Amino acid sequence: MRDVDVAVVGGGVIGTAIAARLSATTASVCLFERNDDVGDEASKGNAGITSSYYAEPGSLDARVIQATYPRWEDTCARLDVPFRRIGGIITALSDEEVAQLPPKLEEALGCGVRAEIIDGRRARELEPLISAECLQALWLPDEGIIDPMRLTVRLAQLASLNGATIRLSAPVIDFERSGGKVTGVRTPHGVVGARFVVNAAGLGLGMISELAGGESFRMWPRKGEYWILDRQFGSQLRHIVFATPLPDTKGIHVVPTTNGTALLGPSAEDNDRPTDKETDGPTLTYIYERARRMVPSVSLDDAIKTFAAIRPASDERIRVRVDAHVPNLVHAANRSTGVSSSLGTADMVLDLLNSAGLDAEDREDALDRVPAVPRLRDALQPEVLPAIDPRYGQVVCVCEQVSAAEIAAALEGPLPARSIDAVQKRTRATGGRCQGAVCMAGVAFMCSIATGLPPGEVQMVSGGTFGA
Amino acid sequence: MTVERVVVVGAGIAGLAAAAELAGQRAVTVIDRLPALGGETGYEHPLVRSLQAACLDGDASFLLGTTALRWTNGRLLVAAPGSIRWLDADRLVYAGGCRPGTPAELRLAGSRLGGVVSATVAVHLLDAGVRLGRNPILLGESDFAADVAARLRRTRTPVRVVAPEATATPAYADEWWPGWRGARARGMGRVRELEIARGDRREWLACDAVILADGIRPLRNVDGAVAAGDPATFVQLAAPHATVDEVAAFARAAASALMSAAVRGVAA
Repeated sequence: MRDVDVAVVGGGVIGTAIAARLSATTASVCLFERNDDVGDEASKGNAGITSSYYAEPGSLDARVIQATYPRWEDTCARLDVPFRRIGGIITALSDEEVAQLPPKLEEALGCGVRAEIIDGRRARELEPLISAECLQALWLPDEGIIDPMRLTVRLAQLASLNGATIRLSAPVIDFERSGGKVTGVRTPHGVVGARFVVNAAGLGLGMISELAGGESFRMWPRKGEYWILDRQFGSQLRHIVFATPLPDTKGIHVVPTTNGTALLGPSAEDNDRPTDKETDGPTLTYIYERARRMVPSVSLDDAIKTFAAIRPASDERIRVRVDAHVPNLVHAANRSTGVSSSLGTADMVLDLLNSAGLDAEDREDALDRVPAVPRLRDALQPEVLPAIDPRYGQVVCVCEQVSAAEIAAALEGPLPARSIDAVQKRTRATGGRCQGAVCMAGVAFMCSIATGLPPGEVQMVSGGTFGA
Repeated sequence: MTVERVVVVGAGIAGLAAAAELAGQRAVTVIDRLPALGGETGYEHPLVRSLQAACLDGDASFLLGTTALRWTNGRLLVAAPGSIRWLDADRLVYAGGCRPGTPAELRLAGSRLGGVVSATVAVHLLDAGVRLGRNPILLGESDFAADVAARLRRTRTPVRVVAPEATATPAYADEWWPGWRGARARGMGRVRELEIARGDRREWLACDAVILADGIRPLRNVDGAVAAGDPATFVQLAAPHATVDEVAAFARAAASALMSAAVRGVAA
C-alpha cells in the first residue's frame, strides 16, 4: 500500500472522528482497526450520552467537550445519526447529595452550558418518572442522547468517501522508526509508511505508544455493565436521569436511547482483564437497585438485554498532545467521554499535526455528509419507500422494523457490514425486544450471501461464528 | 349496520382458528409474514386445511407475505414486497406466536458469545445444514427444545437438556439436568462453558453451543399492540408445550369471548 501523511491507530469514535476530519483536508489518511469493524470496543459499549460539560472549567476535558457539544444537531443531520438534545437531570435524594449540587452548578456554568438547580417538584414536572424522594436536582438542558455506534460508523464512512483508507482486522504490531521519529506502521498485512501517527487506541494507548518509542502510559480496563429496558418503558422517559456522584457510590443513570429503549448503568469495576466483558448477577442487581431509587417504575420485567463493556481508565484523564519523545506521534485518548469530546478532539489533533509540520489544508471538494438511508421505522410516509427500493416492503427484523433494503445498504457499504453485530450497529436489526429470535437467521443468510461465507462461518459477534 | 372489520395477524393455528370463529360474523382479513398458511405447524397439517376451509366459507380473505408494523387509530400499517400501505380495520387480533426468552429475560449472565442462539434461530440454521455445535446444551424443556433436538439427532449430535422446571425426562434428552437453570455463559468469541445453578449448587458444563428454549413468551412486535392494555386482542398461548388442538381451542375461546364482549358492549 502507498505511504500516507497520517496513520490513525484505532477505529473507535475518537479515531474515526480524526480520520473524518483529516479526510476533508489535503492530507492522505489511513486508519487501522484491529477488530473486524469500527466502533467495536468502548464506542459501542456506552450509554450514548453527549455530555455538555464534564470537568472543571478550563481543563482540557472541558475544552474539547465545549468544542463538541454545540455541534451535534448539525453533525448528526449531515451524517444521518440519531440524536436528540433532551437534557439531563442530576437527582439528589439525600441531604448529602443536595450538598453536591452547588459545586456541580458552578462547574457547569463555568463551562458555559445552561444549568439550573431546581426543587424536587419541578424535577418531577420535567420528568414525572423521578422518585418522590428527589429533594433537589440540577437541570442540564444541553445534554443529549446519540446512537454512538451509528456515529462511529458514519464518521468512518465519511472518511472513506473522502478518500481515507479504513483497514479493518489490521492490528498494529510494530512501527518503523528512524531518527527518533516513527516512519511507518506495521500490521500482519505489511508496512504502511506514514509522516505522522495518531494514537487513538483507547485501552491500547500505552501499548501503541511504547511500540512507537513514545511515553509510557498506564492504562487499565474499567468494566461497566448495563441493562437495556424495552421501549414500553423507555418511551415514557423524557430526560436523562443522573445520580448525584458521591465519593463512595458509582454513578448509575437511567438513560433514554435514540431508539426508544432505556439503559440502566453503568457500573464501574477496575480490573486487569481487558477482554472481560462478562455480566454478573450481583452487579446487575446493584445497578437495578440504584436505578430504582431514582426512577421507582423501572422494572426488570422490561429487560431485553444486558451487556458489559470496557472503557479505558488511566491516571491521566485525557491526553490530546504530541508525545514527549516522538515529535510526529500525537496521542488522542480520553477516559470515558469519547463520544462527547470526539469532534473537538479531532479539530485539536489537526491543529497539533499542522503545528508539527503536516501542512494540511481543507479541501473545497471534500464531502461533509454521507447519503442517508431512509429508515422504515422512522418514516413519516412509509408508503412511498417501496418506490425507492421494493425491498422496503420486506421486513426482516420485525421488532425494530428493519427492512431488507436497509440491511442490504449496510452490507453493500461504504464500509460494508460483515457480521451480525456490524449489521446491528448500522441498522438495529436483531437488537430489539426478541433479540433476534425472529430475524437473526435471516440476517445471517443475508450476511452469508454478501460475504460469500457459508452461514455457519458468519460472525455473530466479534470472533464468534454461528457454526462450531 | 356495517359489519365490523377484523384483521387477524398470524396465519398459524391460533390465527386461523380465531379467524374461522369470527368469519361469517365479521369481515375478516388474515395476514401473515410468510407467504403460506400454517405457521409453525406447516400447511400440510389437516387442521390447517380444515381451518382454511372454514375461513373461506365465512368469506375471510388472506394477505400472505405481509408484515404488520403499526396499529393506530383503526389503521394497520402493513408491508409486503414492493408495497407498504394502511389497512382500515375496527379490531386487531394478534396471533403472532411465541418465542423463547432472551438471555436477559432468562437472567443468563456472562459474555455475548457466538453459539448462544435462540431455538427459533437454531432451527433455521440447522435446516440450512449449519453445524451449531458438537456438544450443545439445550436450555429449557419445551416444544422449541423438541424441534431443535429432533434436528440435532439427525446429525447424531448428543442432546443435553438443562431445564429449571423439573418434569419427566423428555424422550429426546441424552443427558438431563432437571431443576437446574443456566446462570452464566463464558468463552472467547464462541461459547465454551455454561455455568448452571440449582439452589446454592453450581456446575460448569463444557459446551460449544447454548440453545435458548426456555421462558416461552408471546412475540409482540406490532407498535400499538404490544402490551395488555393496548386496543388489540392477543391470541397467544405461551406455554412450554401445547398441542395444535389446545392452541386451536384457546384461540376459538378467545375469539368467541371477543364477540360476546362486543355484543354485551352493544347491549349496554
